[in-house]
Amino acid sequence: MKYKYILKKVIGVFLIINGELILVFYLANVTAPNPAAVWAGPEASPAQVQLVTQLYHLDSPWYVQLYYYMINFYTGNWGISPVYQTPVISLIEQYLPITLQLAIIALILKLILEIPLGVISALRPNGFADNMIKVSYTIARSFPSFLIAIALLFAFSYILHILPSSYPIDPIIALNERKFGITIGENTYNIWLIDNMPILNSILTLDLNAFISSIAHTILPSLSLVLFGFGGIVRLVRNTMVEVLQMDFIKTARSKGLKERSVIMRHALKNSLLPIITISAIIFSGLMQGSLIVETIFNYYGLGYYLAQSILNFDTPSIIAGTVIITAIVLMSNLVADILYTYSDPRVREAI
Amino acid sequence: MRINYVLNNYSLSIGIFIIALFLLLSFISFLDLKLLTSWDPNELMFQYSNLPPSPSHIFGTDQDGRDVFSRVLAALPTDISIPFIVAGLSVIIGSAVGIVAGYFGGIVDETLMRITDLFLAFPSILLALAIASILGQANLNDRLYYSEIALVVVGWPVYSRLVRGQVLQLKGMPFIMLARASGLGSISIIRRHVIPNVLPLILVYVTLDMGTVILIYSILSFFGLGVLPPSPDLGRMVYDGLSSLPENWWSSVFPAIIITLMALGFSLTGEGLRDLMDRRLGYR
Repeated sequence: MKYKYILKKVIGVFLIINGELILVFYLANVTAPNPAAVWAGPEASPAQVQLVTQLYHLDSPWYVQLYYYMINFYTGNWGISPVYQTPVISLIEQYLPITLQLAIIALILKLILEIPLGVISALRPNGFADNMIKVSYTIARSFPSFLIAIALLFAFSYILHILPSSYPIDPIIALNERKFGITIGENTYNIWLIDNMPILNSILTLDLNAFISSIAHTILPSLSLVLFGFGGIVRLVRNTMVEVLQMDFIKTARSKGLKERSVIMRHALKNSLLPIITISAIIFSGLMQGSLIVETIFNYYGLGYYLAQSILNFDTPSIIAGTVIITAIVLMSNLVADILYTYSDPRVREAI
Repeated sequence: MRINYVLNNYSLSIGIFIIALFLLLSFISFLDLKLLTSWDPNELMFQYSNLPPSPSHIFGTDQDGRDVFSRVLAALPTDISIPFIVAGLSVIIGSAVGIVAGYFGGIVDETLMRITDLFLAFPSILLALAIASILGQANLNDRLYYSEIALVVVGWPVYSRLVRGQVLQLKGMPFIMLARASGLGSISIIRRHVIPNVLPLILVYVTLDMGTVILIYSILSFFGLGVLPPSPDLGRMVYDGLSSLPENWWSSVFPAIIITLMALGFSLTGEGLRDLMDRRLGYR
């Protein structure tokens, strides 16, 4: 039964990714008056346009184009960026890990900051702390992400001078950075995912300098992602916990003489944390999207920065590949959250 | 508590005041910008570049010597009309889908809801950016319309979900059954009984959504997918000002603050309306 449920979800994800591929294909190849110009970039020479037309079979009927487009996508042939003149897939390999690292750090920070606030709110609904948090939530929701990022940039980088304002790691340190590799026999294998994650790489190669530098460069971008859309988890934890605190087993726990601390932490909080699995996936999606703005402002060379530059330069192959890859990651994280939720909630587990 | 009291009682009036102020300003600016400021928003005057805020340039000047305040005012008519256009179109499309799906049920409902789910599953800001940039590349002059289309594409599914849920609830109620028993046709029932009952909730959501639309549009405009330069656009002004940070902060910070205020106006109004509705219905 469970496998059937998971299989159904996996097929759903597969269909949605294909749906997006077809939608983007329709926009770029069918609605555009001149698809070759879209794929070759606005500054392409006639020779380049001709090359691109041949490369993507743009002179064939649309279903042939769609066929080659899908085949190309699944074989990792995502086109050539007209701006960088390199295959898009190698650019994504280089930039994606940095954004993943940033988004994961931001998610962890968000959980660490917001769950305690939710608990504080729930302990006294409509009390002073609850109301203050509610007000700040309403206001924070109206802040555009770039204003938050600019404010942090000013405060910590330009006025206090304590944190660097750009790059994922100090460029000078990055130059003589060792790359982590696994040695089997005589060959050393590098893993691109780790190679391009400065923090993880510096931990694995035991490079203290690089570690400190990459952490310092990551604080501001991740903090702006944390503040962007702040309060979603707070509100969720608060509402669930208010409900849980009124349940019978809490009364039982109190009446058998448990300390209040233990009632809150062990009984109430543990039961309020389940919905966080689901909302974490939604928030992760927001963080991946927020990275476009945050990485542009902090010159943090990740996928968000690359995608933002592609949009500014009308680099369509990169925009398409970047959009689809982020959608795929977001959908995968939703899938994982769904499965985790199913396994951790006995009520849901029994129901399927 | 006091803060709660203030929030519940004044958020509606503060929100409406902010929206009205912006509407008034953008209306005057649309009629004649000269009534509000004597500076030309598009004239390049390099001798005045990067002046700090002062009585004659309230928001300072940007790197090309243009007065930021007059550019903000000139950008207002477009930027304030976008949430109305986008949210309006999204509501019409989304509610139509939701009402049809919820009212007729069965295979219609199944199909329409699968399509809605498909669109809900996409990361919305990213999809809007992709649509607007791919379409906008083909025809640079129409970028603004393509951005609006992109925002509607990501905006409608929320309404269709919401309205369908409401219609499903309504459908089981006695007065709808009575209407059907008295021989009223489906279309008349939808028009006379379903729509008026769904409307208040939609109104609350539209107002909240308009704040979100402002923020997402500001991101599109930040990446140059809005109004074609040199005409001013708030998001684009923030991006253009980034290169002159930190010394000349005013050319990007003031437009960003204006965006925040507009979004805040809509979300305060929405929260206030929701509160009002909850109280009417006796939830609180």
